[in-house]
Amino acid sequence: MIAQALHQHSRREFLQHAAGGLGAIALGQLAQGMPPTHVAPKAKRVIYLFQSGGPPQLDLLDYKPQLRAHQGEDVPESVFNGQRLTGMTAGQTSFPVAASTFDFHQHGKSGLWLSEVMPHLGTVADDICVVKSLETEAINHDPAITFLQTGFQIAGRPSMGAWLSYGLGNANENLPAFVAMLSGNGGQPLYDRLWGAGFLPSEHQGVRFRSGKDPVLYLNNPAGMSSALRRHTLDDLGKLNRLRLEATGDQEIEARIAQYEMAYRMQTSVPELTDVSDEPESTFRLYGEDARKPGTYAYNALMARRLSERGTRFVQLFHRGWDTHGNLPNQLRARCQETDQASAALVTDLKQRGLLDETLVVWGGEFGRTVYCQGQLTAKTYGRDHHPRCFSIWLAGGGMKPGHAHGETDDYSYNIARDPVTAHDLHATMLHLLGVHHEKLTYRFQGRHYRLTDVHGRVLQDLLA
Amino acid sequence: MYRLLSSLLLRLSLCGIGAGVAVADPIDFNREVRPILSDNCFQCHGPDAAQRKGDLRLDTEDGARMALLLGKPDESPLIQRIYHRDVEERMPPQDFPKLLTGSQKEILRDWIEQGAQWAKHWAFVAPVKAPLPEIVNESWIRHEMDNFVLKRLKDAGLAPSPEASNAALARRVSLDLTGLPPSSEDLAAFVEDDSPQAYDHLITRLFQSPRYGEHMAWQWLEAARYADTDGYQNDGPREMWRWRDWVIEAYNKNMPFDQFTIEQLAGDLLPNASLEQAIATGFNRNHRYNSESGLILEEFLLENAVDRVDTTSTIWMGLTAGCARCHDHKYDPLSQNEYYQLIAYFNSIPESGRAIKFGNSEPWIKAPTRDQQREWVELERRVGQAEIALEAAEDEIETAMEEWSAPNPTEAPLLAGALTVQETNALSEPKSIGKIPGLICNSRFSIAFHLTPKDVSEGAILSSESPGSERQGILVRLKDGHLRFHIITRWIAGVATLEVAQALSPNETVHVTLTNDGTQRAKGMRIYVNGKPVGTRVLHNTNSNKSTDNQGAVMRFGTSPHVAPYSGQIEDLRFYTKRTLTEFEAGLLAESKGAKATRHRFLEHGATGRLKELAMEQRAAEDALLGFEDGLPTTMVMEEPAEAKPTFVRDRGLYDALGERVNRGTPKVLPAMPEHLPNNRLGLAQWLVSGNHPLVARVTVNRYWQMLFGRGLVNTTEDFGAQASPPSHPKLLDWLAVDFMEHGWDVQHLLRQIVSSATYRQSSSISETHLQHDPDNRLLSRALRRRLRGNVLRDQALFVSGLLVESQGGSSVKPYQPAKLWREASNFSYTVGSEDDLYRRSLYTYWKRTLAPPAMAVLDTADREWCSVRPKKTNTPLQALTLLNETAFYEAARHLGERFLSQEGSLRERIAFVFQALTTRLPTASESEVLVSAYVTYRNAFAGDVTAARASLKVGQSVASKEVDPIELAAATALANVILNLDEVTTRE
Repeated sequence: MIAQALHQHSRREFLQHAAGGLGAIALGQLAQGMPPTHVAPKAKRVIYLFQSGGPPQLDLLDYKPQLRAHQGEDVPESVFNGQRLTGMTAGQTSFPVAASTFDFHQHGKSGLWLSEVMPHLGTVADDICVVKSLETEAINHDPAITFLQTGFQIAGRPSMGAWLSYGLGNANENLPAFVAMLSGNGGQPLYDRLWGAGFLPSEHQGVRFRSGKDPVLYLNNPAGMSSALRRHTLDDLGKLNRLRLEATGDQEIEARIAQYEMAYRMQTSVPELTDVSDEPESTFRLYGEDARKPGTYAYNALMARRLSERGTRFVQLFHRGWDTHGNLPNQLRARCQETDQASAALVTDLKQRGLLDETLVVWGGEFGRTVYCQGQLTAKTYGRDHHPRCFSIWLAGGGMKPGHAHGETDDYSYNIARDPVTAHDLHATMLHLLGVHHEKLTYRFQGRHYRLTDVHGRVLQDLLA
Repeated sequence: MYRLLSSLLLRLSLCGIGAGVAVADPIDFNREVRPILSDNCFQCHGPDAAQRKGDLRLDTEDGARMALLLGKPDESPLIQRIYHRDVEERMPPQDFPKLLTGSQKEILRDWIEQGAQWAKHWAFVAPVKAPLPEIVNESWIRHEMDNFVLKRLKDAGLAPSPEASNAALARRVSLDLTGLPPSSEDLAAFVEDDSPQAYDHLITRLFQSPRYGEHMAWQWLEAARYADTDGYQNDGPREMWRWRDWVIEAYNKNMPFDQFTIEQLAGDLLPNASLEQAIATGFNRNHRYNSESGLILEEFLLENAVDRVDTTSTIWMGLTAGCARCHDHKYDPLSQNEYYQLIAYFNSIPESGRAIKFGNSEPWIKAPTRDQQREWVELERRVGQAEIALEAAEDEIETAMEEWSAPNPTEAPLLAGALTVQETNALSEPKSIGKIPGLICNSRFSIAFHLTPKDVSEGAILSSESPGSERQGILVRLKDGHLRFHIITRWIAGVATLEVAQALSPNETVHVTLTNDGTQRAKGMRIYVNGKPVGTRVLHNTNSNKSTDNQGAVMRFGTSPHVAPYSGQIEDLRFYTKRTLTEFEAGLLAESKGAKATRHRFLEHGATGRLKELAMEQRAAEDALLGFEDGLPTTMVMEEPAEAKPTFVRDRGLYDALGERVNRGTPKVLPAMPEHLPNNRLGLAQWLVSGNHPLVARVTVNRYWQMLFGRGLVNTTEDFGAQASPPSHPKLLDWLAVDFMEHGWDVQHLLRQIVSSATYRQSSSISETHLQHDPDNRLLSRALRRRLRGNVLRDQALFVSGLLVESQGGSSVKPYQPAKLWREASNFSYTVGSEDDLYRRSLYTYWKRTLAPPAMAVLDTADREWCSVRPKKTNTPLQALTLLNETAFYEAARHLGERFLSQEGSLRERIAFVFQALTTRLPTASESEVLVSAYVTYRNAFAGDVTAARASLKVGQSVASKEVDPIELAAATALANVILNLDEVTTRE
């Protein structure tokens, strides 16, 4: 039914604008039941594991062993090269190097260097592609996370998932095309706009799945209203609406009836999805015991797999609490404790089920963190400020080159030394893997043909398998 | 196939003529040619000089002439290139994301063949009233505007729809103008009124209802991106509801749109601006504002100004000015320089660039309501009377003082009474004074002392700063000879600092009084030296007016955890909590042995009897006034310093890439600002509504048209530039725009005209002919059928169920919301309100910008993060779930169920009553049958499960009537739930 709604919508848009955009391309292909794509797709869907707050690349994925020899020394002026600092540390009188307290080890045949604080990630080293040379334009959380999610720092633009829902439609009639799930207590806040539809029609906005009685807002009937009685009321509603359809001739009424029916089906399909009692014990050994507890990252990761099995186009997890300005080692251990096993488990699980090839998994935050210490550097602890000039993420499956590291930073993980990657490049590459040419997925708003990649972006051929 | 069909349809609908005659018709450049050139060519051959390819521009007549030969399309390079066989040569280029369709190419060819008539973009030419089209059959026409509509319909071979029924019309116009359906009484009054003016009277009643202003305000709030929080990162609360109430009031008194414009854009600059005019300027403070500690001030000073320019341009001019932030506009004649000339009108306000985390950011004012303004006057009068009474008793006081033996001043401290006073002897060695009970940064306080510094270059005199990096507390220090007074909530993001302009001299004793009015902002802080106010500089002003108390650490003399120690002495140190000393009082402290001080001391400690009462009354009156002032609402406003800040073009739109310096100025494509207007925001506002601006009236009437017909005459409400969709009825748009100005920008006049027209009064039913020939209703062959938006749906449910609490204005309220929705994503919790707060109109719902009220967000309301002037129209299963299950909707169903049960008559009649309350009509026989049988089914179901019936009556905070049978009420509730979800009920027909 969503496909039908999309179809009708696309047709309207198309007639109104008579302009390009995937809406137009989708039309013909949808009519033939084919996925509407510009190039041959490698991936059918995306799971984006967003680590909100800015994970420290130096302690996780960007190994700089030589920094221990410079512990406590000021970062050389030549490294800063006049770059701006945030208002939080710009007033510091010294910028001492804080080498990572964590040891790194090589893993798998690929020999990727990974931090000991993420031991489980090592088990999938040969399946992931680490990008160490991502950069962003923003230096503060809100503009940075908004930029990563929408391609723009300012509010009002559609998020990645909304673009995909708009471009590719839904593959499951009983579940939304784009699902967002939140976990983590405290830390940087999250906003509706991160999974919002911006100027796209609101049916493309991500549906926030929550823990508790109503995984989707207002999913359950009011107290005392049984499912059988709800069925009766919907039948009566349908009869009355059809009478109105006859009287007014407005075909929209038919579409409205269809949405009520889909709502009813969701009342069954969503509980089926979120009820993990049908999972074998091995699932919880793989993801960890947390995966039994709704609202945890591990549970959400398991949900991501279950949604992917059902064809959901874009699943995005948001885990809060990576904003490690002070007391980084303890904070980082806690975050990794919450997420590492489940992130790796998701890759393993998808692979075992034969879904990894068609599912692109992305792990990462909105920016990196500084090599220099924020606040007091002691033998035991340190903090790191925001750092937009470079940060690291990893990707897996969906046509990415496995067991590969891309890009390099300088000795201080401060500037990019080789192969810089922008958020636009990342978006362009993701779309490419899904069969979409990033310059052709457009929506006309304020007289402009907007894209997820603004006026930038290139497909990172080096990363493709 | 689709592409071909659609371009054909497009062509036909643009020409508005039947099939078969398309090609030979004269081409209208503005409607047919410019959109093609703009969308496909301007990006490389348009206004943006930096991106122009091959030195060819097609956005000007002279430019385009280079690429065409009049009347000879095949010899024109433009035509040759678009038809070129070699794909490398063909335009637009291969890698360009758009393709020219066959019919678009033909239009270009025909246009050149017909002589390539050129015209300025229609929207930049002032509108004129064209003569009304001649119509043979005029019986349908009720208003001049109908002529334009009927002409178009006739040209397309269509007839208008018949008029809607009175009942349908009453519901339609009532929903459109007040956001609520008519009450049964209003409906009956209208339907039974046989006079020819019945409909006109109905409109008058709707305009007179305060509900009108509330409903109209909603759309303005969405355009003005109004919210109760900041919208960035932590998304802390702000207080702007006085501005919201100003908008409601402005609509309800039908403020002319030109005044509405001037007061909101520049009310502060009007001569003798009133409080209300200052409040109005909150319009351009409604934007998001970032409070992140790490932000760079210059960056967000620019972002704030950008939002103001973009919003103002969209709302008043339908210009996508923001496109020229980084480079010349790609489609419209608006250069990057001109964009920054507009920025220069909006970037001078005295703001810090960083929002405070909790509360209103500077500049803000106390904004009492009208009731509070009256109370304020009363309280001030009471203080004045107390002072007069004391003055009148001067002889008595003098006599009494002669009989009074004054105690030692140090034993009977000046200004005692309700104050906490911490006194010491002279201090010269750094030491801890201990915690001062009640000394709270975000409460009133004052500190006074005699100061004798040895070294004025550096040193902490007093500090209650916490030892951590946030440094919460108070700091009084010397720096380079100057005295500084800091109140710190979080270094460096939340600090207010005043510095005395005049330097101190070593070894010279001065008396210092520092005061704070509880706001901890620079404007609320004062420094008095030797009893007199002195010139100060504001060094920081980013404090958060937190709701939590900021007590700081222990008070220390001469030392701070963060600043070098002080060398020198202080004497007679006093802390006053909960009190902001006045200049008079600071004077008393500076000369504590003078005659005034002695008199004051007498009144505080020596007076008895009537004199004591007079003295106490004076203190009580002052305390009452202060307490009242502290509780007043505040609101953010625009202010303008005497001298404008310099403005620079920003290369690629980046805050730190300064280009050429520019002055304020309006875009050259528009009429110049008249000489007599000041070149500031006020002049800009007056220029917009001067009457010769080609855009403002058109854009404004178009927005109202959209409100009543679902789409504007120009469909792209936000864009009237080259990329705009051409108007469906250009002459009608211009006629309305001119008429609007001719009638003094009278909004109710405009609305009355439109809703009185035959066009508006058509039925909304859709026929086969409509589907075939006017599927999108661009020709206005019928009225609008459209799902109501979330706010109207909720208000309607509350209204018909009798739950709606119709008090107006005030701070925002928190109706039902699922638990933990905020907590899971943010650092705030939502506490559901109680009683009346649950049932106010949705307009008053607390709007957290980053986590919008969920039922509203699902039902197509704007997100308030940015200026939104075109509502979305979607249809999703989440909307169905919300309307079926959300607490407010189900609670309303129960109350509607109670109304149903309390009716007299048969089941059928009672059902008809409820049905009519929502649809304004009686159900048909078939509908009635379904409803009756539904009710019986539900009643049987609940009869078999009384526990479920009882449970269903507990939805919501209101308590179900005990006198009603729970089974009947549960069934009636379920039935009302169905009726509230009917397509007809959720739709404006």
